[in-house]
Amino acid sequence: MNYKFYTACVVGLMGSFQSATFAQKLSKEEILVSRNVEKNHKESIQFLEQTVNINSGSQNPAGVKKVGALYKKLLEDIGFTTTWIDMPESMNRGGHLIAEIKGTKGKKLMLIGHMDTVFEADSPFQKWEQKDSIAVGPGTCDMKGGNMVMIYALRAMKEANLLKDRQIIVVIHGDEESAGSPIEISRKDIIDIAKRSDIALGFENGTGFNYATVARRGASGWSLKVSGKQAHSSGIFSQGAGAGAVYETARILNSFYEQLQEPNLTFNPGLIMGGTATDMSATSIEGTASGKTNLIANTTVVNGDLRFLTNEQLQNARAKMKTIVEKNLPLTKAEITFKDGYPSMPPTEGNMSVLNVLNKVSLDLGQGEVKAFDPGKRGAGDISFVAEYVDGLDGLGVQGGNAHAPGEYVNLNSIEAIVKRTAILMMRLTDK
Amino acid sequence: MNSKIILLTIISAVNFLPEVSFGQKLTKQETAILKNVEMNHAEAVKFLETTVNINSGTNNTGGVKKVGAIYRKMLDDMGFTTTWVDMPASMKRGGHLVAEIKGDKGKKLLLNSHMDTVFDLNSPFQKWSVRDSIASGPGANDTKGGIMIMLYALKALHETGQLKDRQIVIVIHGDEESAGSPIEISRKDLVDAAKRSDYALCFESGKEFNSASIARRGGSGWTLKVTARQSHSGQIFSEKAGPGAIYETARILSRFKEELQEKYLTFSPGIMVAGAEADLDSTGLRGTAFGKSNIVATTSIVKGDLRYISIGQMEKARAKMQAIVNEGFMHTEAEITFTGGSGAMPPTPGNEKLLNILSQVSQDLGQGKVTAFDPALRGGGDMTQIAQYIDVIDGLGTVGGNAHAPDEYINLNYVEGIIKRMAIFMHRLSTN
Repeated sequence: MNYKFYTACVVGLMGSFQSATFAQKLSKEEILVSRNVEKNHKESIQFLEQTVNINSGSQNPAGVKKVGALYKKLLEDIGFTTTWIDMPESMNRGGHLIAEIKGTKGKKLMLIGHMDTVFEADSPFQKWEQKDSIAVGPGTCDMKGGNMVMIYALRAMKEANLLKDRQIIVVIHGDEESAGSPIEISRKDIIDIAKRSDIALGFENGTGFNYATVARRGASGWSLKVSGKQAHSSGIFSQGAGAGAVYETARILNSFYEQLQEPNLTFNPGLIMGGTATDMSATSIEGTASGKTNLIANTTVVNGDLRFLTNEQLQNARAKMKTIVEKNLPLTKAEITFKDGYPSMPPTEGNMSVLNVLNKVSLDLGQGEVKAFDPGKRGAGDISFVAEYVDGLDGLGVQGGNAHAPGEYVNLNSIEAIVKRTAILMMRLTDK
Repeated sequence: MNSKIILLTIISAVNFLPEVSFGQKLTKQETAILKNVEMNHAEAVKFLETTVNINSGTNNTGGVKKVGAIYRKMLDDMGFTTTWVDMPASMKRGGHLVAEIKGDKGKKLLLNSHMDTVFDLNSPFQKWSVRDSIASGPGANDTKGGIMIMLYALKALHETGQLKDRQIVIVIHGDEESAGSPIEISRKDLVDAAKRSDYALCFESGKEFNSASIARRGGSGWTLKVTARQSHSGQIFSEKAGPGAIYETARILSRFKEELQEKYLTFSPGIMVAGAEADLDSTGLRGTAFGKSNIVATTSIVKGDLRYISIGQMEKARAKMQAIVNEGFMHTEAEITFTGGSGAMPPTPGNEKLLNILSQVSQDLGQGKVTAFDPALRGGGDMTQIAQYIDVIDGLGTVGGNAHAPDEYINLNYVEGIIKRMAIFMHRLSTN
């Protein structure tokens, strides 16, 4: 018996053991749904390939609409009533797909996806390419893969006649990668839906087969403006000249660094200009400064971001920053302004209880424990907009990698198990 | 006879023409000189206005030459032999005006000032304006006012026949505010002139009517460059990302401010740019930065100056700065380079002797005593380049304020008194 053969035997034994176990743990209906997933697996991959080969960069509204039509058709086929929500023309975004089935049974579920990708029509990265169990292509992982998981899980339920009387709304955005502005309009529909739902499931790409996202940090901006007295450099620190804008800026930033650090909070200054004159471009991402070494700098500007796990953490951080900013060095003035961005999705008890349901499903399927992913490592996402209204879980999509980079891929071996897990999770959440 | 009068008599005996008694403080020639100053006063102010209205920012070589031509003409008219000394093209400076009269009488005087200002062509501050006795304009005080004082004092000597047989060499720089590099070339003419003169008189702006500078600090430059690892802003402070270039820069500058301050030492950062990309142009006066608030800054550049009363103080300060820079945060690299570092002008007995002569002139004119100005309140100057060769006195120009700021001004009420004082001062030095 060589080593390879031995391993194969052990895996074989484990496999049969698992089947035996979940025969007990899964209901008859759940087993039926699992079989439907297996039956549809091949087709689901072909469907994913088809959607990946249609370019739907956020700024390609026609492509978004084209791929959206495929999702629309599939959802209508399994009994959903669908609506396409157009965005105002000035927004230059493709719009959103909303699909709903109405009923009276159990919790109201909302499912969140997005059909746009970061790869625009002029990107060299356009097509699906498969090598063994790895499929490379734009949006394979982020997140046409996730949309496919969501829809084929629903389809497996439908084919077992288990969608009947449940309350499920699907929202697939056409602008997640670059949200249309104003955000109050581009995220109006998802918020309205959240207000009449109980639980939200997000199908963004997963961060490991045994992790789900119970919390995502929010993102916001800040801008610091400091002025000082322009005077000859030789008088710096004197009563007449003061400390100047650059030292005041250094004091403020150094105090931020020393006094604000805590878990899940980051505050990054991305750009500084300081001197006797500064000029920031309208985009706020570049500019010029002029100054001389024999002149005390009288102006600096700093732009940065602030990421946080809860609104309370955000407000505390802003208050601390303001206090630091106000302790001006002699003859300097500083002002900080804050800009709201994405809200956060804090790790609430409600979210943990949804995770517990998923964990149980996964264990019942013999797929192992599912744990909460570190929110410090996860950026903002659309689920953040609804986190204050519903319990939720995100990162339920496919396993893969290189999201946002040419070479983005999905691990096809992960798909069948994820679709099964998702279908049974949705059943259990909407049963009562 | 009280002790004050005894002291006065002794000083008079040492420094004055033997026939002058303290009862009759001014000679006939001196009285004639004073009358001439009064006669030319309105013209002198008009002349200053003309020169102030010509932009001669250090980097505006055309403007420096243009204003220099006006000074040259006036010196030619008084019988000086004038030379325009061009600097090498690579230096990007306007050059110097050198003027000389030769003779065999009295002490050999070197007169120095500068025609450039800190206000380059892009400054909003370009023109002369008068309100009551206050005239504001670029260079009004630093130091076109000083040149005017020097020239109209000489004119009074010339028009009363008192320049005859005197030995006076004048060096008017075109690059005092930002000395051309290498300094060995841009200050060669001044050093050569100093080596063959007895006293140097420098007409930088006076800080107060009754003070002059017999000590000035030396000046040098420093450039701080920080690089760091680029990461997503959400990862800042993590083991993988570190705090980035901007927080490292803030740490360094804050530490400079906290740990380096001591009497006579100043260190002023004049320009700062930082972001994902940051660069200063070849002049070092203008920088560009590009940076997004969701990217940890990778590059930061700060340029500043360092002023000190002795080479020992400079070396100690540089060592401390280097040690602070070396302490570096995780995943950042900082480097500081120093430029210049020429001599300071310490308060020698020879310089004090010149001050005493000046103070006597002032008292003889009924203008009160002249005392030594605190060098801590004063920057470097060209005199620091020659203080090791010759007795020097500085700050002999106009009285005003806000030098280097866009509301620089002079007090016109003091102009006539200062020209008189300087004419008599030069007369006594160049006659004995």
